[in-house]
Amino acid sequence: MSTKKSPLNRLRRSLGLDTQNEWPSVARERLLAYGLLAVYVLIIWFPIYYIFITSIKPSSEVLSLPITFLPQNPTAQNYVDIFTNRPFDNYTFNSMIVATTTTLICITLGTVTGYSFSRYDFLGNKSLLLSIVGARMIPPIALIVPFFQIMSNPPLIGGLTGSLYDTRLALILTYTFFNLPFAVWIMKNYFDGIPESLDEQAQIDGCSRWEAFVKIILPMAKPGIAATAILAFIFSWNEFVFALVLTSSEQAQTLPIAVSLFVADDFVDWAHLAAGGMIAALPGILFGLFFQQYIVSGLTQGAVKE
Amino acid sequence: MAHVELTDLVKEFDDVTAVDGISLDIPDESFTVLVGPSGCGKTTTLRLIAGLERATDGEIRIGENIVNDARAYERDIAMVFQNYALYPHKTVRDNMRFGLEQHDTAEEIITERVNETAELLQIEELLDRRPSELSGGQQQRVALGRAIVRDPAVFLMDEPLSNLDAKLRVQMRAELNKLHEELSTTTVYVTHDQVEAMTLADQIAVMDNGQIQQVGEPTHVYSNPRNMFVAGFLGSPSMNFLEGTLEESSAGKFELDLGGAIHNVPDEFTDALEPYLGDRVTLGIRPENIALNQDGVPANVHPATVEVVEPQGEKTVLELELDTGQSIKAAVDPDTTVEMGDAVNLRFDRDSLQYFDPATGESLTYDSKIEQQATI
Repeated sequence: MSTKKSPLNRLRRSLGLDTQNEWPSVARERLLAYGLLAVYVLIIWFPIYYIFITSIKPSSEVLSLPITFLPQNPTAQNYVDIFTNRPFDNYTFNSMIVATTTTLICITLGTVTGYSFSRYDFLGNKSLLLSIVGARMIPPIALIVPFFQIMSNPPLIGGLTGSLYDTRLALILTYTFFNLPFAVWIMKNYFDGIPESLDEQAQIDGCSRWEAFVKIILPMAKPGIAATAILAFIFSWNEFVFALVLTSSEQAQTLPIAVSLFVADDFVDWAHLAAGGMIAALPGILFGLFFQQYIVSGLTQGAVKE
Repeated sequence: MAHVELTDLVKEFDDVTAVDGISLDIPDESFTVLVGPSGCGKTTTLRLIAGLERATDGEIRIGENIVNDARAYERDIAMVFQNYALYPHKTVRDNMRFGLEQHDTAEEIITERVNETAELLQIEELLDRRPSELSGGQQQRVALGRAIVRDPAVFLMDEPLSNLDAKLRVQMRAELNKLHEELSTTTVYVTHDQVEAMTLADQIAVMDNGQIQQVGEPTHVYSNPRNMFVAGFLGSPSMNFLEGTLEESSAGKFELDLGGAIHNVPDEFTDALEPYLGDRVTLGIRPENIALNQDGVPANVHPATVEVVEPQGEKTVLELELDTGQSIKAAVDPDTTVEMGDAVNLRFDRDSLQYFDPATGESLTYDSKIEQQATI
C-alpha cells in the first residue's frame, strides 16, 4: 500500500478529503481548522510583506494612492542608501556584538546557576531563586533613571573614572541584567526535568561532579540552552527604550534606534525606514531559525524508565 | 572482587534517621539482598556503599579499605539504578564505553570488554542504537551491561527489575542468577519484593525502621524468623498471627486460649514458653502449613468458615473466619473443593508452629543455632 504515503494522498488526508478512511464530520472539522490557520498565517505575514514591498519601492511610490501591493518599479536603491548615507554597517555590528555577548553571558551563567539551584540543597536556595526572578518582575521602564545614572557615572574600582554612557558595554550589562534571571529560571526548570540518577551514574562511572555536569548533563540540556539563547538574543536585538537612553552615537547605537532615526519632526522616510527594518529583522529571524533546530522534544527520552 | 563490611552505620537526614546503626558482613562473591518495606532504609544503605551519600557515623569497608571518605568514582563499584539512568544522548556502545574511558582504559581493552559483555547479555545488535529505541527489557540489559563491563569489585543494584512487566521480571531474575554464577562478583541487591529476595540471595538481610531485623540464608530466615516483622514480611500470603493466653491444662500440657478455642502447644516448646505461662502469646502459622481436615482429628483442629476462595493456579488461597472470630488465611491444594460459607476444620502443621511475644514481637522459639550454621 505504498500509494497511501504519496504526497497527494497525504494532502487529501490532511484536508479531510479522504472520504473512504475518515468520518465526514472529521473532514469538515479539518477544513475549518485549515481555513482558520490560513487566515492566521496571512495576518502574521502581511505586515512583513508590506514592509518588504515598501523597502523596494522608490520614495515617490510609497505614499501614492491607490496603494500598490505589487511594486511597480522595484529598486534596491533604499538598501544602498542606508549603507552609504547612514552608518548601517556600524549599527548592525553594534547590534550583533551586544546581542551575541549578552546571549553568551546569559547562557553560560544561566546554565551553571540553574544547575546549582536544581541540584544543590543549600541554605536559602528557595528565597535566593525567588529574589533573582522577582527582581525581573519590576517593569524595566521603572529602572531607566537608575540605569542611566549608573552607566553615566559607574562605581569603578581603584579610583578609575570614566563613563559607560554611549558604549556597547552599557547595553550588554543592562540586557544581561534583564535576561539572566529568565535564563536561570528556564535552565533550573530544565535541569529539574533531567533525572538526578544520571548525575549519579556519571559519578559512579568515574566523573567528578563537574565532569558529570559537563559530559553528561550539559549535552542533554541543549534544548533548554537553545530556548534561553533565543529569548536573550531576541530581547537584546529588539530592545529599544534602554538603547535610546543609554546611547547617543553610531559607536553604540543599535538597529532599532537606527531605524527610528528615519522619523524626523515633520517627515517620515518610509522607504528607507522599511529597508532598515528589513535589515534589522533578518539576522534575528536567521538566529531564531538556527537555534530552533535544537528545541526538540524528547532529548531525554529513554534515559530512565518511570 | 571484594567483601564489604558495614559497621554501626548511621545516616541521618535533617530530622529523619534513615539508617540506624546497622552492621552487616557481605562476603566476597556473595549475592546479598537487602529487603524490606519502602522507607526501611535499604536504598539509603546501598547509596552509602556507593558513595552517593555520606555516612553520618559508622564505617564502610570495601575489601581492605575504609571508604567512608572516598567519592563514588574512587570506590570501584558499579550500580544499576531502578530507572536504569542510561545516557540518552549516547548509543548503547558509548553508554558502555563511558565508564571505562573515564578510567583511562586502553582502547583495545575497551573494545574487547564491550564486545564480550554485549555477547554475554545478547545485546550485540543493539550496540549502535540509542536508549530511546530500546524496549524496557533491552534498556535493563544495557544498564546491566554498563555495570558488568567495568568489572568492578562490587555490583550495587537498586530494585533493577521493578520497572519490568511480570513475565520479563521472572526471566531477568533467572538471568541475574546465571550471571552471578558466571561472574561471581560480590553483589548487593535492594528490593522490596520478597520473592526476588528469596530466589536471588545467598544471604538475605531483612530491614525495617533503618535497622537490620535478621540476616541469614533465605530459607533459614524464612523458616526461622527472629521476630514477627520478619515472619510477616517474608512469605505470600503472609504468616497468620493468632494471639491468646498461655495456660497449663490439668494434664500438665501447655495450651493457648484463643478466646474460646484451645490450641495445644507441642511438648517440645514447653521449655521455651514456660516463662510466659499466664501471659499473652502470639501463635504464628504460615498459610501453606494449614490443612483442611473435614474428618476431624481431635487434637489441634480449629473449626472455621470459608469467606473467600481465591484460586491462584498452583494453589488456592482461602480466607477463613475461625469460630473465635479471628481471620486466617490458608493456602491449600488447587483441587480442594470448598465454597464460600462452607464449614471446615483447620489443622495446623505442628512442625511449623512459631510463638512470639506480642509485646516485643520477638520470637520465643527462634533457634539461634540454626542461624549460626547458616552464616558460617
